[in-house]
Amino acid sequence: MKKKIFSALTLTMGLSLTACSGGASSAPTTAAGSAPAQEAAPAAGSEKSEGGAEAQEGGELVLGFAVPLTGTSAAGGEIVRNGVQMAVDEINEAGGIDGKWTIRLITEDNQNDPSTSVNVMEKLCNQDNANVVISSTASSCCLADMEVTRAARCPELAPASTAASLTEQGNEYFFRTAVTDSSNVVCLYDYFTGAMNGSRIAVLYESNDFGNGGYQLLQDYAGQYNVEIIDAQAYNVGDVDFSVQLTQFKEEAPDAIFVWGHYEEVTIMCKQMAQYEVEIPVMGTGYNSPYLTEMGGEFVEGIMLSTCYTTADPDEKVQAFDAKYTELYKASYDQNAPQAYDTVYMIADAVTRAQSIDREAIQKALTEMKDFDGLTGVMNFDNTNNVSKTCKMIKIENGQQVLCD
Amino acid sequence: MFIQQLLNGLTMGSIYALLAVGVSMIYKAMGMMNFAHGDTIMLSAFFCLTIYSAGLPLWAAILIAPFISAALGLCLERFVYRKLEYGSFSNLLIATVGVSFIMKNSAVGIWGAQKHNFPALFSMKPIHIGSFTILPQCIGMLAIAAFFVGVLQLFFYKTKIGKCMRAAASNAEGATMMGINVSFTRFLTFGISAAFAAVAGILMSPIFYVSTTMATNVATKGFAAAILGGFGSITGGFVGGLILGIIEAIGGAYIATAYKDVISFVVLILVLYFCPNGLLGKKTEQKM
Amino acid sequence: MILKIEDLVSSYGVIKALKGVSLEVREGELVSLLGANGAGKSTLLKSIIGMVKINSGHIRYEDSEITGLHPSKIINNGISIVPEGRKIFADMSVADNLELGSFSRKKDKELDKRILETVYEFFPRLYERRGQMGGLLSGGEQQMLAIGRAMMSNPRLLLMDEPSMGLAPLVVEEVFAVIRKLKETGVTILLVEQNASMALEVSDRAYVLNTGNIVDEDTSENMMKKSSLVEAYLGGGNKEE
Repeated sequence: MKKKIFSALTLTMGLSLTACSGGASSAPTTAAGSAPAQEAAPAAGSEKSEGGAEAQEGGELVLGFAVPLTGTSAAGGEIVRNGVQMAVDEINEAGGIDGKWTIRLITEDNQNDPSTSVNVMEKLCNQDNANVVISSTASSCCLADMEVTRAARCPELAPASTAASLTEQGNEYFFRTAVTDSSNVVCLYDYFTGAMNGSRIAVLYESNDFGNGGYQLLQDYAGQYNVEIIDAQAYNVGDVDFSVQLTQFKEEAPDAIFVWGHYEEVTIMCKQMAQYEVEIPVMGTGYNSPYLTEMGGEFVEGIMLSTCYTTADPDEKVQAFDAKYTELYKASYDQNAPQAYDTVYMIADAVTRAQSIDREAIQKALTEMKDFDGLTGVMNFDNTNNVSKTCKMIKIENGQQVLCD
Repeated sequence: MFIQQLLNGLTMGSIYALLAVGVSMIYKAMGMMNFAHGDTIMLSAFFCLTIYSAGLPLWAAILIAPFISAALGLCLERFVYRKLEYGSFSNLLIATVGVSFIMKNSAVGIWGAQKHNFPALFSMKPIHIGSFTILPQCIGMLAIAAFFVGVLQLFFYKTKIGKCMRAAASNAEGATMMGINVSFTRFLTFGISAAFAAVAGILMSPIFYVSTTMATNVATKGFAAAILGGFGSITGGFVGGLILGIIEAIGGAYIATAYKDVISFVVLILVLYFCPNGLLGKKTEQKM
Repeated sequence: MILKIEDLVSSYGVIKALKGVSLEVREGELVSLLGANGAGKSTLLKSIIGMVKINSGHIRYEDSEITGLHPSKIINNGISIVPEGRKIFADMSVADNLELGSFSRKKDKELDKRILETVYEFFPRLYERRGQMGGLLSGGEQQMLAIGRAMMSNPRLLLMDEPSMGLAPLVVEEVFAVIRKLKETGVTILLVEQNASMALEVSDRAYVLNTGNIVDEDTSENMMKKSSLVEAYLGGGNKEE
């Protein structure tokens, strides 16, 4: 049965690609008098980006993009979309990928809902015939829509989903370009055992996939860094009292407390640490947010964290991105925007190396990506298509993020 | 460490105690549960925060907020609850659920979904007793909760109007036949319980941040604590709240902090199994 | 004339319970209102104190109109009721129950003390149990409590709604002994009862109510001999609507 679907799909793809003008499945050919690319019947909420529907020399890369634009995740989706848009526009204005292919961006609203995600992905892959798709959505939706891309053999990149299970499905077309916590753990342990010369830690982590995953990784890497985890306590999102854990840690006196959580709880933790006079350095990840200093005030002074992106980074690229984003969208953003931006450039890089916009070629080129230097670090894909990034340690000083040295 | 954890449990315990006292009071005076109690607490906290942010001194905001809450409670009784069939408890219960929903969503509409800081009400410096640490805010809240328990006990058992409220809760028809204006006692009850919710909200704000979800989980714990101590008993609510807080802390410390909530509810079920009326509850006729 | 009711029509929702009832109670009398279940007896008492909707007709108490007034206004004026089913406050003490009975009266410490003493005289067992919760009393004791509570307001007109309901025969006798004692103190009583024979023994006059209409009125002595009572009990309800 699967075979039949594959053949049917391939046939349809082939037919539609040949009907479509411009270099489709092979090396770019100069297409004269190109008719505008085949347009699918617009679904509700679908958009096309500016950037030339006209194929030029080399042709056009169809970039499908699924993101929540309505519903509770709309705010986060907006940020990712801005990052994607910025990159696409930049590339097109500079003449396209390698001067040859313009990017046609087709954006669809998946409402952060699994079944809608599947429908949206089917449209992007099979009707719009995207060469590659970006899916930014909750991990549950990614799990659903990646079955579509797997069947369509279309590379799918996810710049904002962090669940470990995503890259455990054996789907070689799926690439996670969001920083994974392994990168954070490496960064944290490097700094802790290096500049801080520490060896004993206590861990305080959220009692969900995110926190449990982080704690698991801390345990996995502890051996190779000679770190001893003397105590680990979980807490539930929404908890406001950490006195039990903190008084215990105070007595156990680790060199640092590693926290895997979000700013809501972390700011309260810091406040209570002051109240209970627990003077132990705090480091970790998950709480990189402008609200950290806004809510935490004086209590988060000195807190450290690992992140793949910070505006405290003097790197030209980062500063330019920050200035441009703020000017264009006049809003604050989180690390998903630069991750999405990097994702588009990664695709461009892959296409350039493959000199093809064929799905298989892009997929292969992505796996071969080496030391891609983006806003969010130097990146490589491992053998499960998880990206590894070099993260940075930052510290809060006088209410501002500064790089740790 | 055991004693320290016990003391740690008193911080949350005093909050649960406050909430449980509020819940028990409503039951004592109305004979029913008000599912909008948690949201009233939340709204009161926002009232206080808004007044304070508008520039008034903190003490003024703290003084004014309970009156606004009381007014809200009175209006709710007069214009919403009174319209319903008072004879049917289930109608009223469902109405409070509806009001709770509306309160939550209005709050999000007015103040947004993010959290807000609230100034500390007690000193941040810890108090050291021997080798143990206890926070001033914990002692402060305990003292305030105990104070209100005393006041409410006096009110319900020694004053005529308090007795009338209890009578109205016990048997509304009977009370009416004694010439008690049951509508009016209910009216008053909503006002008083709302003002009390404001006290709880203000005390909670520095710890929980003011947000539309600040009271949701705690309210449930408050109900649990009220049941634990004996539903309808104000002292019982106070004791139940403290015990719940302590159990959570000890359970968290010696079993696992992630299971704090589960442990509390398991204990609640166990207690109810052996003492169906709660720890301090008295046997009463079954209603409903 | 303490109580005068004229052509009273009242209903529960859409059901007309009383279809034009007239009766009167004179000072010092004990009048019984008899009839089968569902005849409308309790409805009549509830109409008097304002707890049931009155469609038309008049109720006059000591020459003033009390038709359709709010219960708190009627009860605070010298009318007191021993409710059907007792309706005591189960989770409050006996003493508190009694104290609430005097709620409607203006505060008068001397009078309070005297009446309370009288009540405890009437019901020595209540005195013994004055600190106990109402819900823990036996059925008969609860009935005594309900009566005592009604006495606390020092009423001029006492309404009693089915005081014998649910009580054992011996206890019923006790209750009626109390009712007799009450009559002797001079208070006017309107007694609604299913137990016709006991009611007729204590009362001066009686009315018979049948599906919302008064079908008979006579002195209790005569009533005891009449057949209309039997009719009311056996055939009540399947005549006209």
